[in-house]
Amino acid sequence: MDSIYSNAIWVSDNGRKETIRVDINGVTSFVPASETNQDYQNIMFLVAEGKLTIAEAS
Amino acid sequence: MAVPYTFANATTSIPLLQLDNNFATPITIGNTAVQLGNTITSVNNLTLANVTISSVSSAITPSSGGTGITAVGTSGNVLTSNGTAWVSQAPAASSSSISNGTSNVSISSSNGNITSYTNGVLAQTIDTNQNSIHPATVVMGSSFLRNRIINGAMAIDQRNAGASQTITAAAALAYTVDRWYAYCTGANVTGQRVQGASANQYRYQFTGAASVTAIGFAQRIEAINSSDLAGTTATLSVDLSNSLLTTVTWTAYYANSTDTFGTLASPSVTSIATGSFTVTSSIARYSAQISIPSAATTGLQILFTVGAQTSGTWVIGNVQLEPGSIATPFERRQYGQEVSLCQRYYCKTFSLGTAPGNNVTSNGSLKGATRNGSTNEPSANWKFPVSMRTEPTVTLYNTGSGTAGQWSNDGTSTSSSNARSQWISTEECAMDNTGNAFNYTSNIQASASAEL
Repeated sequence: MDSIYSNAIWVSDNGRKETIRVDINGVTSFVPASETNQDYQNIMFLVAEGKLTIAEAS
Repeated sequence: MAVPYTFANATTSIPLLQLDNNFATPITIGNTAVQLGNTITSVNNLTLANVTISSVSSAITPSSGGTGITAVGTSGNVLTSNGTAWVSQAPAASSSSISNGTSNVSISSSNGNITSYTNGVLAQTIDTNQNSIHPATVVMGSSFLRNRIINGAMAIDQRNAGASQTITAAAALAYTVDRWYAYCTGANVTGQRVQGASANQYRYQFTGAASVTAIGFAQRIEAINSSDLAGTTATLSVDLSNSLLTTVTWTAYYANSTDTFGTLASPSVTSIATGSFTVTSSIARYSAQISIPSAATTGLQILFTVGAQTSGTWVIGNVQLEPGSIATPFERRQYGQEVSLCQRYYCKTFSLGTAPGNNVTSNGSLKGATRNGSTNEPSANWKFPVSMRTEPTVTLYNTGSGTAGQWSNDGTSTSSSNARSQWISTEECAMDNTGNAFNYTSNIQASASAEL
């Protein structure tokens, strides 16, 4: 049920990780690195559980 | 009355014919002669002293006139002494006042207003049109903006604009009309904002399907809008109907940490209370009181659930959560106010009545100004209509055919796959494109979600 997040990759600016580009239910979205953003909380939860990896910005 | 000697001293039977004439002598009660063997139905001019009536088998009916109890007269009359008798008459118009010396309440005989003074100063006037006028501040146990539920009337539907939405069984929670999310188990169900009746313009309706085992419909209230309810009693009210089931269950939760409720699969909430409403196929209003614990300062969640909605419809509307133990009428906010309240959690560049999507419209799109000179890549800033709850998740949509979420040249061309939003605040976000140049003005649409 939690695996609605996929293809996560950091979007960086001048070396700062500003947002995560991620598919949410198949729709590409940009999640800010904000502790109070619900998607960011869910993504970090999945990362901590080893269920999702965020790729580094290319 | 003396017993005649002949009878009192008789030793043998004596014929009644020989009764002494003394028995025919009447006695007088009041001014009425009473004779043995006669029936008396009224006694005049009788004075009773120290009378106790132990019981009355029927109402005492006053006769008219005289100086005693008078006729009841017209409805609303009062008995008034005229010095010699009680008279039934209409109350006289006069001013009345109750006072303790510094404060008083009075009723005016001239205009009918009720006024109250405290410390000699006018405090309140209630006029004959039932208007209540307060020269000073009205302090209420619950404010006028008392409903903590946003979009309780289901009027705002930015995501679907009134179109039906499939709620996928056992998937993540799905946001429906603004601020409300839904989920289901067993099989998919359809949810849709539907037309209500009279003052209630909209409702939210689920249509059941075979194999459905449960449906949930909920709203999360952020801590900053609900922490004051902790340690108090709140009242939940809702309009409900169900054409199949007769039980709708409600449950109140608070978040385990501020504004963090977790997911459906991994909730991070503590149950406060639960109950059920017995509903019918006709819409009706139900309410329940909730004792909110003092620990519930981290945000609240109100959840409505039904069981196996295998057919039929479940309709919900006019949800209200308010301070206090009294269910007051549903609070109707101005539509614009409600939109702004919703936009704190979700907003879009599309018109309010247009559901976001790719290749839908250019109306409202952001126009990309080129940057980096030689590469001519577009960038734009989007100022949110209101400050959002937190930095939102941003989704991009192209305005024409081509790759979803990419810049579009008035619907004819798109960038490849490099549109992005990388600077997002609660006030606005910036979006640009990287890695490929294109020499035309370009547009893009967006939505932003800061839901709980």
